[in-house]
Parts: sequence; C-alpha cells; structure tokens
Amino acid sequence: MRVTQFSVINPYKQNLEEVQNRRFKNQIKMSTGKEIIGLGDAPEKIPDVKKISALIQQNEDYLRILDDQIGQFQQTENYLQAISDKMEKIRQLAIDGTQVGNMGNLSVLGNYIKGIITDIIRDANADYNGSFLFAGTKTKSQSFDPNLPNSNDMPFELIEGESTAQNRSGLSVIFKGNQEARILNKDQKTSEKVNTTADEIFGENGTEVFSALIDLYNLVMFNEDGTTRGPNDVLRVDEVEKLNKIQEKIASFSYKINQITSRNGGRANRFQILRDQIYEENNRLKEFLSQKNDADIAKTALELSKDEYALQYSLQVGGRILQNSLFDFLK
Amino acid sequence: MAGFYSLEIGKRALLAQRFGIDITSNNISNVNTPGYSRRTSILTETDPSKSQNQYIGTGTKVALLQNFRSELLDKEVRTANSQVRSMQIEQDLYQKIDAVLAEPSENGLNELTNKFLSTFNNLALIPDDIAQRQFLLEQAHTLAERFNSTANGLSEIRNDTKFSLNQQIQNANKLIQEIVELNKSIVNSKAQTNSEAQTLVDKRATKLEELSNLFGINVSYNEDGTANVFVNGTNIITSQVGSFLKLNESVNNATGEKTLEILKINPENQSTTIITPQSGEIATNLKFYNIVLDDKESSNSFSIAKQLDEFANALVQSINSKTITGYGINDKGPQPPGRTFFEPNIGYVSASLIKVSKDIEDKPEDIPLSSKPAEPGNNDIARAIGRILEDRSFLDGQNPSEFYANFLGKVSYATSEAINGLNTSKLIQSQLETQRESLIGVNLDEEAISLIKFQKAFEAASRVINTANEMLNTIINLGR
Repeated sequence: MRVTQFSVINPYKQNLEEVQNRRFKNQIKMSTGKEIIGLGDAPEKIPDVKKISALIQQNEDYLRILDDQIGQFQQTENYLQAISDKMEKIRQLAIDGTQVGNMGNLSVLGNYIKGIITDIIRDANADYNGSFLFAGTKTKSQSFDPNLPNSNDMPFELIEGESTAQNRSGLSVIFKGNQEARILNKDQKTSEKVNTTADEIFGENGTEVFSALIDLYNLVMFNEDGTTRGPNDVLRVDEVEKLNKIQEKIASFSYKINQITSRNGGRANRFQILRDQIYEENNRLKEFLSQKNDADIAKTALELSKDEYALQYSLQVGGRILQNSLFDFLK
Repeated sequence: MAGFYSLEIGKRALLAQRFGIDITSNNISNVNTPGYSRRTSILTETDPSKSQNQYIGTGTKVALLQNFRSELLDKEVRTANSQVRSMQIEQDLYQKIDAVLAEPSENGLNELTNKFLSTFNNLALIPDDIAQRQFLLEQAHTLAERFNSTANGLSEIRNDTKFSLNQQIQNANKLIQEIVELNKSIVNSKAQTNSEAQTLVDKRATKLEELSNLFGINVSYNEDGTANVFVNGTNIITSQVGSFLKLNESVNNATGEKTLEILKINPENQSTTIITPQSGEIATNLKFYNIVLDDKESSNSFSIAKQLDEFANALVQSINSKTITGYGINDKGPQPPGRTFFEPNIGYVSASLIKVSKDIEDKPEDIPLSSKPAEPGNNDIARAIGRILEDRSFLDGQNPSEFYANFLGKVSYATSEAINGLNTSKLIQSQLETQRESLIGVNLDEEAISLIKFQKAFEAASRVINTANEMLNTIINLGR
C-alpha cells in the first residue's frame, strides 16, 4: 500500500482528537463524580436514573410530611391529655361536692368547675401552626358561620345566655367547626385520616361533654329556685343522685377521651414506623442510584491517567510521524 | 545525417524529461490540496526510422498523462461523506437539545414537576397556610417558566435548522452551477488538451464531494465526460443543464403544522418536483424541522417538541380539571368560583404558552384546594393533585415521572445513536479516504525520486545534444 502525506496525517489528527476527547470526558467525570454526563452517554440507564431520582425525591417529600404530621399528633396528644386531666379534675370536684365536709363550699366548687370548663374550652380551641386542631376542616375563623351568636373567632365558645329552669346559669357551649375528616397522602399508595374531630372528643355535635359539665356546674352552683348556693346550702339526696349520674357521664367521656388519646398515639407510632420504612427505602434507592449514576472514581482516575499518557505519547509520535522526506537528504 | 538525427532525438528527450519534471513539480506543489489526484507522464518510444538499412529508434515522447482517480472509490467516499455529515449535524442538534432540556441534571423539568406536585401533598397538611400557598405559587411560576424556556429553546433550534437549510440550498444551487460549468469546460477541453481536462475532472470531483455533504447523490458519466447527478432518483444535473433548488414551506390549515420541502425547478418548463434526500446535512435538517422539533408533528414519529407539549398539556389539564371544582380559603359558596390553576384554560395547552392563571397569580388564598366552601382545612383538591404524582392514567399509561423518564430515554437513545453513527461513519469514511489516498495521493519520496530521474535524464539528453553539436562541428571543420 502506498503511504502518502494525507494517509499519514489525517488518521493521526483523528486519533489525537479522540484521545483528547476521551481525556476531557474523564476529567468531567472526575470533577462531577457522575458517570452519565450527557444524554447520549448511557441511554439504557437514563430512564431508570430519572425514575429512581423521582422516587427518592417523592419519598423525601413524604418524609417531611410524616415528620410534620407526627408533630401535629404530638400536639393533639398534649391537648387531649390536658382535656382528659381537667375532666378528671372536674369529676373529682363533683365527688368532693357530695362529701358532707364540702357541702358548705358548693359555690366555691361551682366557680372552680366553671374555671375548668373555660380551661377545657381553651384547650379545645388549640391550634397547630395556626390551624384549629379540633374544628374539622373549618380550621380558620373566617370559615365560621357569621350568623352564629358568637362573640369570638374560636371554634368552641362559652355563651352566657338567659337563665332558665333547666339551665340556671344560662351557660352553653357552641361549636362552630365541623366533623369532617382531614385526610393525608402519607406515602405513594395510601392516605389516612389524621385529625380528631370534636364529636369524637366531646360527644354529639362536639358539645355533649360541655352540656354535662354545665349541668354539673348548675347543680353545684344554684339552688332549685335559681339562687346561688350559700354557705348553709347543701345538696339534697335527689341532687346527690343527679350529681352522681352526671359524674358517671363525665367519667365515661373521660374514658372515651383516653381511648382517643391512645388511638392518636397509635397513629403517631404508625407514622413513625412508616417514616422509618421510607427512610430505609430511600437509602436503598440512593445506593441503587449511585450504582447507576455515580462514576467509579478509582476506575475513572486510572482511565484519566491512561488517557494522559496516551496523549503524551501521541504527541511525541506526531513529531516522528511528520518525519523527513528524501528531499532532506538531497544535496 | 547522423548528427542532425541525434540533435532531434536529444530535443525530444529534453522535452519529454522537462514535461516529467513539470508533472512532478505539480504533484509536489499539490501535496496538500484536497481532492488532488497525482499524475504521472507515461513516455513511449517514437516511431523508428530506417538508416543504413536498419531501423533505429528516434527518441521518446509523452504518450499519456496518467491520472489515478477511481470512480468507484470516489463514489464510496461521497456516500460516506453524506453519512458523516448527516450524523455530524444530528449529533450537533441533539447536543443543542440536551442543553435546552438541561438533562441529565437534578434540576430538570422532571424534578421541578415532582417538586411542584409534592408541594400539594405538603399543603394537604396545612391547606390554609398562606406561606405554603405562596410557596406553591412560586413553584408553579418556576415550572411554567421552565416549560416556556424549554419549548422556546426547541423552537429556536428548529428555526436555526430552517436558517441552515436556506443557506445549504443556496450553497447547493451554487455547487450545481459550478458543476454544470465544469461539465461544459470538460467537454471543451477534452477536444484540446488532456491535462487541462484532468484538472477539471479533479475540480469537479471536489465539487461533487462538497455537494455530497449536503445530500446523498448518485453520479453517472456520459461519453463526453460530463456528469449527471441524481438525488434519491431525481436528476438535478443532466450533462450541461442544472436544476434550481428552492426551499418551500407549506402549512396544513387544519393543524397549523409547518413542513419544509425542497423543490427542484426544471429550467426548461419551470415545473417543480419534490426532492427527498436520504442523507447529508439537508436531509438531517429537514428531519429535525419536520419531525423531531415539530410540535405539531402528525406522522406519529417521535417528536421531542410534541411530547413536551403533550406532557405540559396533560399536567395542566389534570390540575385544572380539579381546581375548577374547588374553593379557596375565603370562598363561601355555594357554587365553586371555577378557578383554573394554569392558563390557557381552553383547549390544548402548549408548553410555550403555559403560565399561572391570573385568578390566583397574586392571591394565594384563592388557590382552590378545598372541595367544599368555607372549609379552609379541607384538603381534598390538594390531595387529589398530589396524587397525580402516582397516577398511571396521567399520559400513555404512565405517571408524570415515568412518562418524562421514558421521554428522556428516547432522546438519550437518539443522541447515542447519532454519536455511534457518527463514529462508525467517520471510521468508514477514514478507511475509504485512506484507501483512495493510497491510490491518488502524493508521496513526496516518490516525487523526489521522479525528480532525480527526470533531472538525470534531462542532463543526459543535454549531453546528447552537446555531443551531436561537437560531431557537427567536427564534420563542418573537415575541409579546413
């Protein structure tokens, strides 16, 4: 085969370009740590890499959601516990009211009970990050019906109305929220109700408990004729029986609240387990992604070093390829 | 008589050797000229003459100026050139597309879409939170802008291909005219000198190779030495007549799809024929303009721009269809206000036009995330939108990230094929060029030897003339 100027120089130029390109690519791989630099590098891997990346990203978002929700569960638990404690306290006060030694202090007990009712209402109006916890999906005050006889913008409100034979104090509690469930997408497949509604805690319409508490307050605080009990006023036998019935009712509500509290705790626990599972899954996905996407640094470093040698030798050889011709030896 | 004869023989030798030196010099000076085919002079003995009842030789003459061009190899090189240029342009265009898609990266369109949809899931936790709603709007703006910039980037590349095609067609017309002129010159020069014709043949071969970069051509030769050129079976040069090519854009009134085609205008009756090149720069640019980057592509081939639009449209429709039934924080009902999240909210939504709806643009509290009025804590719409992330009925039986991942996979395969195709066709081109070079290329060592050979022969011929001259002097001085 005849060897001409072109047939020597052209392949040399092409080869030199190839070595330089290879070295450049390995330099980028080293500096980015990624195996796939351009879309054309590994078409068989690209869809998998993108799908796995998307899964990791989604899982991280779900982890954040679960973390936030666990915080909300904890807040709910704190308030449920506080309500339960206060109910227990009221129940204890009711029992105290039946004791002979306390009979002369019924109005004091009554005032005490009213104070605790107010405290329970404050707890029932609790919020998490500005959203009411126990008002269903009416989590903001602007969503309450403006026609209700409310004087504040809280979901539970103690109203002081007209005194009646059945309700000497005229007190009542109104609930402005609703009993709707708040559901959350907790992972890629499942959703779950996450809120505790007012009727679950406080009975029918979210006010049954308060009615019982106000009945108790009325019984302790007022005589049958509607006058406030004085130091000499004591509970009659039928009133004691009535008080006992109310006390039992409060006990059953208290028991129910404890059940709800433990259900809330159970939910929080499941969410924590799910969070740990997703965290584990994400670790595996990240490892899998790394195998697909990340450069093998040791291998890339060796290849880079090989390419650098190849380039050096290629340049040296270039100097020899463009050698003297016969003309250089003619005198 | 003998002395005069030697003078004539010497003269013939001098002319023949000088011709050899000229040819060698021309070879040396064209050692780096692309497309140049080396030449060599073939000498032959002149007819003998009878002297002393014997036939003796009368010297030498140049019988032939030999050219080593091989039509077979030229044809193969032209085919390889077309392939290389096709693949080179394809690779360049895919690299531009990669840059527009900004993939593979951790902040591509896929990631932005996922982040945006995930924000609805986050909002489901606290749907009444204004700060989170504002964040959602920011994400939506970012996503819409990315859709716009990606679609516009693809559109710009498409416009670039049209610009390139215009230039390439101009270039093709120029080359066609040059080849026609060379055809004419070859016919004329063949009647005169062979050497001029060979130079013209070389020039024409170079022009044909330039033309083959633009589109795949077939060349046939006529007896008068002229060449006919065909593109995918349609003749664009017939001997001394060339056609004029024109780039024509047609618009489908029903779909608005714009298609470019190359028309051959017949110089004799001005009739037109559509040319469909199969390879070369023009073929690739046509493919990208009419298919790959055509957002209204209708032949069911893979179109990046169309798939991007389909993705944007599916996303917008699936979100708008949910928000239109929802309520914002302050909506009291009873009828939903009918707000869409994205615009345009009528018909097919193109990626270049998508933007956040004016209904909610500066009013995060009005984003409809609740399925019931006056329930700011209701997250039904937010959750439903968040679930789009996993919704396999989103598009073509895939959820958004699966669709986009597979879409990128297709782009990736096409890019990879272009790179591999370019490498393969470059290798073939390189082998063919080396093979052709070994036949037609100039070797300086060979030329140095030829130079010495002709120089020595020239010196010897001079000596012959000198000797003949001395002999004649001797004869002339015999009588003195």
